[in-house]
Amino acid sequence: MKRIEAIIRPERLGQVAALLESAGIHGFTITDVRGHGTSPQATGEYRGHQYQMLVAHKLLVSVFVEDDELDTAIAAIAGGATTGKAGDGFVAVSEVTATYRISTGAVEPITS
Amino acid sequence: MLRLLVISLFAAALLAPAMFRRQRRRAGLKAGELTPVFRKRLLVMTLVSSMLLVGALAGVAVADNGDPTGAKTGISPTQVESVYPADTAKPDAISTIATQQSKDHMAINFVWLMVGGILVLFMQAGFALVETGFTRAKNAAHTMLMNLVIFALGVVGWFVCGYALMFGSVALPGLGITALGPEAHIGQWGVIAHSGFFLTGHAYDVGILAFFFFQLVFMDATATIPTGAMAERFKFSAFICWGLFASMILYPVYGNWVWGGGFLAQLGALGPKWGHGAADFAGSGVVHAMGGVAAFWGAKILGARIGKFDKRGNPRAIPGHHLPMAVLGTMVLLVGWMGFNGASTFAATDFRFTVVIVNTILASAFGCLVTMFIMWKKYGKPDPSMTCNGLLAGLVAITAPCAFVAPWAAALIGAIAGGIVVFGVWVVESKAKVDDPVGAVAVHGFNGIWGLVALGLFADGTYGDGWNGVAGGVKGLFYGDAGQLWAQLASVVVLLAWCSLASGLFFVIVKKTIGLRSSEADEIAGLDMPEMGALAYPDFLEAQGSVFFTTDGAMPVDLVPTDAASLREEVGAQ
Repeated sequence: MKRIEAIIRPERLGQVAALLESAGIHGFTITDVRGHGTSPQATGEYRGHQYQMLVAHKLLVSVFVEDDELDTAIAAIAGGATTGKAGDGFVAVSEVTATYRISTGAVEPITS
Repeated sequence: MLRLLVISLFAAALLAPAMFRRQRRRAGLKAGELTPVFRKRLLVMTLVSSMLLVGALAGVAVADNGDPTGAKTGISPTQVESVYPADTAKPDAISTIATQQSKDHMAINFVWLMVGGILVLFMQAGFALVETGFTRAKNAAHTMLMNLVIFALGVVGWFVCGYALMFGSVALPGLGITALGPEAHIGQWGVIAHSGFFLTGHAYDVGILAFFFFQLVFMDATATIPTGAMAERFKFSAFICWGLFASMILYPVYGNWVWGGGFLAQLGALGPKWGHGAADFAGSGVVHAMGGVAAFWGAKILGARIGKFDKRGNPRAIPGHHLPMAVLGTMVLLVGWMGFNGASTFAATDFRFTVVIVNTILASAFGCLVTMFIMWKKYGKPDPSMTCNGLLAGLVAITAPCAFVAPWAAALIGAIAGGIVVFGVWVVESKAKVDDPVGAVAVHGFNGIWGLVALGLFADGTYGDGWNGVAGGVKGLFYGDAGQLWAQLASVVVLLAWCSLASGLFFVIVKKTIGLRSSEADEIAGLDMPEMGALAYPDFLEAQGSVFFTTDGAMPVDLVPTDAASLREEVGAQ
């Protein structure tokens, strides 16, 4: 089992969710995050002075998938999140050693 | 003459499309097709010509049928019979009617005064929203509470001695007010009133209490102005002292000189060289310039917020945390200002209040637009924060002259105020190196003074017969009375001297004794937790001082320079 963490533009969440759904991957978690990456910092203007936005608003999308779903899921996220410009974000994959479902009340390994 | 102008403008407007057709043919375009340049020109021409048309038409109407003083508006003797039937013509009936009529007259004046006062009271909410919106989330509870508590402190101070010092010697027949006591004089010049402390004497009186309330809310506006300029670092205990000082001493003294029968109001007695003496209809000087000048000295003596200026002394942006809040506050102030200026006639039977309200609206709109376009042209964006300041600048500037000037002059005064506020912010931040987070000095100080001067320039003589006891309408320089301008300038000089001396001395004394400023650690953490014991936004982690901007004072900003050059300097530039 794998955990996919993707940093994406907030406005691309709808596309990412739709592509994941159509690829048969149900369920994801998002977190509002702010980050400092390679894309140029936005410049603000306030009362006649300019300032730089140190961080930009992004979403962190977490998806847990079986090993054989990994490529489909990454393709779905990348396909939905891309605009072709700097600041589209990135995807990281890590190994998950075990998962448990809480609602059963018992600590049971999830098997697919 | 004007009619001719209107007709020719109409003709020009009708001919304009034909002219454009010719140009289009010359450029080789099809009918109905416009190049962007033509489209722009067409738009500008339409706008300008329609404004001129409206202006010219309005000019014709006012010149012919206007009633700028309200003298002609009302029931004529021949109409009285239809209101009061003929059988009431017995003597006792007549006296009943006369009594009732005079009570109605007073009633409508009291209602107008109270409605106006309540509108001004709500301006406290406007000030609170503007000041808190323009400052950071980590100080929001502190800034809001200052704006609430200044109201309470002001009421106490005004009750104890503020009203007595300022208005103790004022008699206003229009509200049935007789003087509580005499004015203290030096020679012939009134310096202070001293009757009605704690509302004693015959102050337990419907007229005096109505006036007490109306003037109370004006004083509260003055007291709250410096809290914006000093926000985010003003120690709360020092602020308490300020609230009492402003309402008990600073405001009433100058106020007495202009509105309470003091020497500035008496200047007209020196002869026509001094016009009507110092005139200030609703308080550009008494209320706003006093607040603005005190705000300047407060912010200067307090020092800048940590991180406001870089090592070379250049100002940085410290963006406010809630622009919608600030814009809403500006709108609340705009609505409140209708009472501030409009009800300063003290009487709904003085129909001039409609002129006052329209003048106020005009100045605010022109101030708002001029500031917005200046910022747009100069910095590339309309800048919501400065546009708010521009609208307020127009309001402040028209506050003194609003009853004495024609609508076109009000528009011009507001437009100039919109320029002055941009200049003022630049002077305060970049030249004087004073940190004023909300622009209080530029809005209230600079434009309060401009308002006093504008009265001396644009007053057109249609209003103010008998003002300060001088016969004839109040006329400014452009209407042939240079004396009024001298009186206005004298009141500006006295205001600057008194306010700088008294507030400067007050802030220095507080600084040397209990301390004026919060500790550095508290300021960096945000004043909410250390001084209030409560966060304004406990559910929002980001409000507790996380850093989104490279200039945010939430961290030692001197370590976070804004530009690449100083960054290299800071990190050693190996």
